[in-house]
Amino acid sequence: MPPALLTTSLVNTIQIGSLYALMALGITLTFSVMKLPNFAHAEYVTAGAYAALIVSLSGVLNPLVIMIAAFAVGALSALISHLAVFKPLEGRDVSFYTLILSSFAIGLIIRYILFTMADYFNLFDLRIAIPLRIVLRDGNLILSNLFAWVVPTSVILVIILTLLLNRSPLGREMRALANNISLARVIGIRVERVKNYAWLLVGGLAGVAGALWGLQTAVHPLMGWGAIISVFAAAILGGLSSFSGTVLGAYVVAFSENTVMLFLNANYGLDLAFKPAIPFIIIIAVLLLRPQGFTNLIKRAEELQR
Amino acid sequence: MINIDIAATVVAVLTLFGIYSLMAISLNLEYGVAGVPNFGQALFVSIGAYVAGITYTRLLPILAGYESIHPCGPTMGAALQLRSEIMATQPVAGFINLALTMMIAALVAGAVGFALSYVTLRLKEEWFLALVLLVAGETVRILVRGADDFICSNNGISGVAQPFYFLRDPGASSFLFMLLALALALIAYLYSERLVRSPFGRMLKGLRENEEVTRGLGKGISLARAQIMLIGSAIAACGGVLFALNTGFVNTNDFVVNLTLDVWVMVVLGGIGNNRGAVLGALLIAVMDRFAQVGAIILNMGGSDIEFNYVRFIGFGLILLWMLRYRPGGLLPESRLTTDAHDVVGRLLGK
Amino acid sequence: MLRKLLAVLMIIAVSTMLGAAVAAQDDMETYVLGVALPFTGSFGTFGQDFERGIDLAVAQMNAELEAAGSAIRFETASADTEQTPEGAARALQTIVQTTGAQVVVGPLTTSEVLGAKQFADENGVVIVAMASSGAAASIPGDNIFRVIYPPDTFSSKAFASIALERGHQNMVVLYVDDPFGNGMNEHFIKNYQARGGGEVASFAYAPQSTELSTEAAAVSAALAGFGEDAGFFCVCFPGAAEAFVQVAQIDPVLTSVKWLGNEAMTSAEMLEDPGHAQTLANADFVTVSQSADSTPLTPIFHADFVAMFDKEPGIFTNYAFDAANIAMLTMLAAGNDGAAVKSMLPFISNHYIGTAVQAFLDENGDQAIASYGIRQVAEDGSAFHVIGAYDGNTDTITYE
Repeated sequence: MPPALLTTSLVNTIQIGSLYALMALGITLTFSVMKLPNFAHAEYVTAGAYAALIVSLSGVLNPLVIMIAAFAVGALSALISHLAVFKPLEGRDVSFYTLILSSFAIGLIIRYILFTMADYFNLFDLRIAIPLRIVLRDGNLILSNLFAWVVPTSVILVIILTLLLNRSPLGREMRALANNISLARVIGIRVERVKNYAWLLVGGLAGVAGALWGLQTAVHPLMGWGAIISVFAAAILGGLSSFSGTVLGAYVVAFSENTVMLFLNANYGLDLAFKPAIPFIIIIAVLLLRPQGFTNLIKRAEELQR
Repeated sequence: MINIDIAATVVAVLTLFGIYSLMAISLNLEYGVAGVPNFGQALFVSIGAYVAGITYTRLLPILAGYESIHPCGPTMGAALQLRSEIMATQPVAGFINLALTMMIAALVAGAVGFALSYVTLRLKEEWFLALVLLVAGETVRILVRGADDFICSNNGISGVAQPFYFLRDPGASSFLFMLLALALALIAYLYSERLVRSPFGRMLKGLRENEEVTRGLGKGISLARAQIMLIGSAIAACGGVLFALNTGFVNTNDFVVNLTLDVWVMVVLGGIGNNRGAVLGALLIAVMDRFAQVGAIILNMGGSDIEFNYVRFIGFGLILLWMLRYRPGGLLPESRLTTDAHDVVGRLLGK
Repeated sequence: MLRKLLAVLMIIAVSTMLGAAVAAQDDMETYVLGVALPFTGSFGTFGQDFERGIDLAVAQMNAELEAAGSAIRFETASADTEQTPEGAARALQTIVQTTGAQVVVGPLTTSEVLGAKQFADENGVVIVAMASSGAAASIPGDNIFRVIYPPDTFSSKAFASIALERGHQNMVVLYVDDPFGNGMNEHFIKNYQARGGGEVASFAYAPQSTELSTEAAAVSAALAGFGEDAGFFCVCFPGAAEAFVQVAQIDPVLTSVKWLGNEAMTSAEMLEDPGHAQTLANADFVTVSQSADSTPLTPIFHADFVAMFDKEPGIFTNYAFDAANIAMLTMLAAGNDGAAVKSMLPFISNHYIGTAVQAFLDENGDQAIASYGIRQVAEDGSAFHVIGAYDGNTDTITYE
């Protein structure tokens, strides 16, 4: 593998891994707090991307405004799907698969609402109007302004989320909810309020990820759905419970899709068209061989540090 | 101008109903009766279709006394012409080929289902199984696309004609094909009804309700579930053979996650754990799909600005959500079995 | 709620049927033109645009028929193929069994066309496809006609010749992994090397990919390995094309070589982004396409389309317009009967001047005349200009 290819693929790994991490954290949060594998998560990403696209087409090019709009729309669509779909199903002793099917159904509805809108206003395959530039070039290493945006945003959001969960009262309440919901209720946590905040956070993160994902590719109603399997693979690598494990998982998935795939292509002639199979194979392998994902590894590393 | 050919419409919808019934009965046995969440239905259906693609190109010419021609690449056209000619002139070869196709498809899919479940039933959490099967379906689809000579990668195999093609009368041949689909669905229905009422079926239901109790009664859980996966997968693959014959074309693009979801919706809509419910769900989906398509044609003729085909999916999602919320047992909820064994299990469970 | 929903649908259905019945009472004769296209899925945009092209053709035809005092009117009945072969079969069944249509325009891709084939052949329904070019559907004697858009064997020759004319010793190809991309890649390599070209490195991308940075990195490395005189050929669908240019525009190798690309790379969305437009301009991007101003009908179609829908026609939309016209003209000549249309369609088609090229069919019912415009992106990236023409039947390139 030539050094230039290796460098580029590692840069891509970091950039795409950061995006996957932003999307996957929401899945881990929904699964650990709400006990729900939410396939509609993909559509919050798409909704956020469309919010960003529309704001940028209206002439506002301030990245912060675009992010806030994406966060708001993503958060709103997540909260609506909670209030309208998931909350009424709670406490009814519904099976796990009812929840999965409901998440598919609400995802389908959001996706085709976006389709209807995109068709009516002719918003297919457009790009958020922030031009791409090279900000750093040193030998084989080339970093774009997208990289300069994506990586710090992801890192900062991941840190904020971790602090929020570990240090703030809201985070404590969420963790209590994740551990034991009836106990949380008994000790006086306002469960519904905490859940609403959790959904806003999940959707908002997905929305921001969508805005950034829309800078990486073209905005289309299927763009979130196209990334969801990789994102689920990342969350499953994190054991669907650990945030640091999920972030690590996101980079592992991105690394496999970029560097490992290119290595196999360059050395063994494996067709790049097999790339979509990679996250699938990761999911199968992890669930069969190591369903806890990275969680124990991380715990052990923490114990060693102490 | 609307000019509905009612006879042809009924035949087309009932054919789909027969095919969907096979898929829904299969999922109902697996999930509704045994509690195995098979989110890989598309995989087992696709196995049936791929087997049909292979027998029609490799086996059929030999049965009819010809040498088989390589179906892909430069000889693609000649191979297609040969199988169309055989299907048009040699009905006996066609029927033998179909019978063998069904058997091979059931065997292969059954073996795959058995093996997959044996591996995956050891998973830590049950829903991992759902995810592994869902993912396995997509993985196989991507790998088959890449395999050049298997079913000609993404070019697919056309000319997988239904066995009554030799009649050269679309009305008669599609009517007979409908009868074939309905007959197979009826056989699957009667068989699975018997299975559900047998001691094995009652044990499976006990398993679904409470693993510990059934384990305590000394039943081999993994083996029982693997057995039901074998039976269910075989039925789904027979549905897959008919699915391919109904279109006349085998292509990986058909076996996407949406197909699995459709089958789940049938079972949820009709009633989980109840074969009559599964069949009702299959009928509803077959009818509703046609109804929505005809509705789209009519609305578009009326000059509507909104694309009704998008609205169709939104409506589909809304109906599914409504059912899950207000009729979680489906339209025909599972009735309690009134056998002594069930009462014993029920008492043990404290119900 | 379910019952209410069904009731509302019933009322709509019954009232429309009654309305249609009343309208049909006078002496008018209505011919139904079926339209089977993917309205949902990732090619949903194509389906929508094609339908507009067909609607335009039908509106124009009906206006002419009315002015001439004819009693015949055309009406479209469109159904969604869901972009799957089986969905195409169901869409075709529904159209035919609901309206009695004998002729259906569509579907889009080769695998959808093959999915619809069995029902069409058995029931004598004629399919007029406008953009399917995969070799798998080149079958003599069946009910499928693929008008206007010739098989990719022609354009692959043009691309090979242009690559050699530009002095590319070696080529790198990125292609979509479907019958269209595979065929184009295969024929391009064959023609390029037969004409004296060197090595070709090909990379396939999966059709469902939304993000193409891995592929761009692989292409860039292969180009760097070949050295300066290598060229790049992109066989991509819209959407993927934009996603690829998005990541390629900061790649030092990809921005320093010349590019060739298929027609789908020239969508209106592509030049809307200044970065993309500049990237294509720097790469001297050239495409070989039919939608150049090669017949007198081209500008007329364009003006009429903009006047009717207040938006630019998408790429390939004019082929849908042509396919609908050929289907309607044949029905006017042969009557509303599948067998008669099947027998007469090649004759009518061979006397039809398209918006892109003169229609002419070979023994497989596929377009046999291939005359392309060679278009290059302007230096400022504002538009694509015609710089020459390629005649597929004599295999010659002429520059303006």
